[in-house]
Amino acid sequence: MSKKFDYDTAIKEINQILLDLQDAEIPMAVLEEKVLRASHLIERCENELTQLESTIERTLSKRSEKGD
Amino acid sequence: MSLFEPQTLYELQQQIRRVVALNFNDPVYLTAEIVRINHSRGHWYLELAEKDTESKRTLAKTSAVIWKNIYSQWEDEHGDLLQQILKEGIQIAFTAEVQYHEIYGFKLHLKTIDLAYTLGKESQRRHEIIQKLKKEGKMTSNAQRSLGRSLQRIAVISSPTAAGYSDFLETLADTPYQFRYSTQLFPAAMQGIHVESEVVNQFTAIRQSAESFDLIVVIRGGGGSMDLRDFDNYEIASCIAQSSIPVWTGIGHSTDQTVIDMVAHQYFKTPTGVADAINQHNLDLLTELVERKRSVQQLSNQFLENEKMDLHLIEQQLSYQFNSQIDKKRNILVRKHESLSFQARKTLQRNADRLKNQHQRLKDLAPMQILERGYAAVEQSGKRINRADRLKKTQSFSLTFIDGEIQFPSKNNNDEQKI
Repeated sequence: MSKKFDYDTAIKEINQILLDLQDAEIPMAVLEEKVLRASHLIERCENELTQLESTIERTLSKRSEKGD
Repeated sequence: MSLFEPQTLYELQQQIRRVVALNFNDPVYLTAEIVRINHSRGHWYLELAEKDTESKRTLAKTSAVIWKNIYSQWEDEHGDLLQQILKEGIQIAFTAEVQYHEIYGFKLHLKTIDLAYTLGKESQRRHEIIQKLKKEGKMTSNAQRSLGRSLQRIAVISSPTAAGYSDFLETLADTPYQFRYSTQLFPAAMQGIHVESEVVNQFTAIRQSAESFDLIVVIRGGGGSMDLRDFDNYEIASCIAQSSIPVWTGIGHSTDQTVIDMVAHQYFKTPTGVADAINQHNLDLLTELVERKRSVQQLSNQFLENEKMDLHLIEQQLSYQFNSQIDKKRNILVRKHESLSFQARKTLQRNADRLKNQHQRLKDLAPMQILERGYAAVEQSGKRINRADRLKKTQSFSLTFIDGEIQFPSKNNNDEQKI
């Protein structure tokens, strides 16, 4: 069973990767791996925000219709 | 045995008749209470009595008659009031011939009647009852009882055959609001000498189940004003005063109040008036309830409307805050992405620079490059000599330049050899 994506955990990980990337001695293979990982996490976070925005928009629209 | 011949009964009666006739030549003026009265073929036959005012014990009693012709004269003279006066229990003043008959005995033959006496007597009796009730604090006792919010369980003291009773029931039922009533009749005489005892008994009966009733009504149909004297009654008035249940009266008169009207919680002219008032009381309650229901609806609607508005505002704030948060988080992500890109490029650039440096160093250290710059490499016995003290001066060595190699000592003597 895949672990549920957690936005805040993802942001923490992105921050850590950014710190790691400041290390001058980072191996190139690790550099590639970390950049790919951070890019993936950023994309997931953006998707999460878009999805959440859509859900909230839909919910508020329904409530407005009922209110009318 | 007597020395004399015995008198016959007839002789005795004749003797008494003569004595009476001689002594009561003219009509006498008397007062007495009518104990019993009935009529036949236009003649009225009465039983008159005098009672002790305190103990009510009978002190004297006799029969009397109003002949048809006399009664007709009285009717012409007094009209309807006569019938109201000639009732059991009424004190009358009259003139009468005193007669004695051998067969029918002592009898008064009424000639004239003094209605003013009776009316005055009744008025005095009524005044005395009112004074007594006032003295005992009974005039307002029942009026101070609280009416129930609704009046539905009603004890009715009336005559079951009275028109007033059926009028009362019909009026109660004749309401468009379909009030549910539970009436219980407590039958009692509404006129005559039994009014007091029967009405008092019914008040006693009602008191046994006082919790079962919201209201007691005392009603009767119409009648003359003298009929109302039965309700100028101390005992009945006392029952009303002491009743824990409010008592309404409607005993069918249009002018004066009776004593029981005075002590009742409320009085009305007719039984219909009582029923109308009961319906109105319940209608007032119904109106109040409908009004309250409307108020509750208005308040609850207002409350819901306010809550909806509050929720709408909260919703707007929520939406605003949410969008604001999303924007913030998007910006953070954009910045992270930029940072990531910057860091990655920076790291890559650093590595590229390092690589370039290394390449340059490598290039710089390449032997040909060094030779090009004017340096020469010294080799001796196949080994590179990089220190002067390691060179064996007695052995040959070579100098390598960018463009060639020179051996020392030279194999060709013509070559210039320098060290």
